[in-house]
Amino acid sequence: MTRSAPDTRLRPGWVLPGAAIAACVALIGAYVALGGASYEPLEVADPCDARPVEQLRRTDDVLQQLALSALDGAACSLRVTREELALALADPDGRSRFLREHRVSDAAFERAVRAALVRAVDDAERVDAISPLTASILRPAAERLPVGVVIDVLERASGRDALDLLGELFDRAP
Amino acid sequence: MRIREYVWAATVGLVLADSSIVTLALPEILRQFDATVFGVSWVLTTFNIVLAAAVLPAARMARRLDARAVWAAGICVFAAASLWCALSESIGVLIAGRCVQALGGAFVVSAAIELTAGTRGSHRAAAGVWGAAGVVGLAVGPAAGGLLTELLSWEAIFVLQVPVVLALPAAFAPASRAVEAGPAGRLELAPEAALGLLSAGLTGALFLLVLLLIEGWRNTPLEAAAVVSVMPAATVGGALIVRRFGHARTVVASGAVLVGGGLAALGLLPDAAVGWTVPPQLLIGAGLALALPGLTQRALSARDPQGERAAATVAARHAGIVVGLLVLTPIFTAELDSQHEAARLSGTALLLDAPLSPGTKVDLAGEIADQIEQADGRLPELAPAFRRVEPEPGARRDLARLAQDLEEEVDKAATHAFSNAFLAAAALALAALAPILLGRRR
Repeated sequence: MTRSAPDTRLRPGWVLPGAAIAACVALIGAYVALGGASYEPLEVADPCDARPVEQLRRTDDVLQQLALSALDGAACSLRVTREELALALADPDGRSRFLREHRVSDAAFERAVRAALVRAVDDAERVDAISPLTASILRPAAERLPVGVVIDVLERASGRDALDLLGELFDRAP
Repeated sequence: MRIREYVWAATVGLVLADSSIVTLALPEILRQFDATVFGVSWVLTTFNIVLAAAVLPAARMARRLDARAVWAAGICVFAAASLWCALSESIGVLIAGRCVQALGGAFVVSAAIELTAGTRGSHRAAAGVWGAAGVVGLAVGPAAGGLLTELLSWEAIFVLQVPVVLALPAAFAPASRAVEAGPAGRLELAPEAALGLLSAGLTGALFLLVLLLIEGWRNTPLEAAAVVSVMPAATVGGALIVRRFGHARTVVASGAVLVGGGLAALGLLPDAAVGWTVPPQLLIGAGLALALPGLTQRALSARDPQGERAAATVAARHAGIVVGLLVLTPIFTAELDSQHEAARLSGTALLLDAPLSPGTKVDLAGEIADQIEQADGRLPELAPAFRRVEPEPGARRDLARLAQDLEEEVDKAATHAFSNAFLAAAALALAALAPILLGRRR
């Protein structure tokens, strides 16, 4: 009769499963503690929440504040984010895609953006971010000119003074 | 071990490596054939479906006919199909070639099992050889494919498999001695189910991690290959633990826990840096070594004839990979779409709020839009857009800061897009614990 060789392997018992569970819990716990559960793109702000209006001196800054404030206002009334609206306004394809996806008519879109532009001019004038003269130029433009024209002028307004802007807005009036 | 046994084991390793070898080449194939992520995933899926379906009938043939002839025929079909894949000019032709390649592979694997059992005297004695070859092949496959894709091209992966025909002389070895009949016994469904579930989870590590590294974090295939080679290295380390503890149920269960935990950690990465993927890969690699050989042993132990049972474990593994691909790919592609949109919005927010002049912002928005268009649905490279914009005096630092913030948003979106799929893969791997712990004790 032959005797089989003794099995020299260790009995794992619960040491090995315990070590495996501990290693996994430690790693997952460390990753969660380091922000692994919230490592995702920034959530965009609610456009209906007020943003601080600053006292600005440079024309560029004032125009930006006006545009951003108008975007917030229009986005809030259309119940979309400011960023979605900005992308929609960036190009004609984006706008038609936006109208289709959010089931908004062209007229409602124009109305919302125009109302927001006027409100942004009013707000900026109220906190002295723009002068009454600049406000008096921008307000009728926002009320009457096509939204696309106002946005186009604002986009290219960097470094220009109020009279320059007025001239261009009159030129572009239909 | 004789030379011809090494040759048979190597061919098993090669065929099983093929189930994952093109993973790192998928982004390249996706671009060349202008395919979708879901479409290109079929290059992997079909191979595994055909292999899983054909391996059992092939094993029956190998037992009834001359195993050497079946192996040689399999090698010829596999080599010819590899050439077919390399010469493919459309995604459809490539997928068809992969089906034929898997068919040849099924004959190679099944016959190699019979042949090794012939020289070793039993299927049980041979199981260690082909089981280890399979695990190494599966683990090394992605890194090898990445290396070839980077240094040569994705077609090179298939071209370099054609010389497998040089192994044919191994088929002319003298006839094997009679194989001992294995003990008759009940079907071991539990280890087969566990193998399938674990393999489904492993798809996350083999398929998703590679896509994250290349498509998400924009690493080159070579860099990705270096990163994912951590997993096979850890598998070697895990094999040392197995040598010490054997294949007890608790060892196998520990392996499933490590694979599941590692995959869950990949779903909770705290940053888009390759270093964070290393600890989870160590767990997955070690878990692979602890669980797969033990489950294979358990599946084989009470079966007769064992050649076909051995083939059944291969079928279970590859059916699991198919389930993994079919479950995880839709989760990942849906998440990719939503994260693409989230990154677009968060990037727009950063751009709108950046302390730059309207003129610079408008110029930058146009350049970024061009980059997005060029990226054609994938995550865009933003650095070239920033290089083309000249900021106003004094704003260079703000522009650089914005570039960094936007890159981080894209990285966050890419990483988050994979999170749910990794967590689903972890759930699949942990589900393997049920059949492992509830299966019959012996």
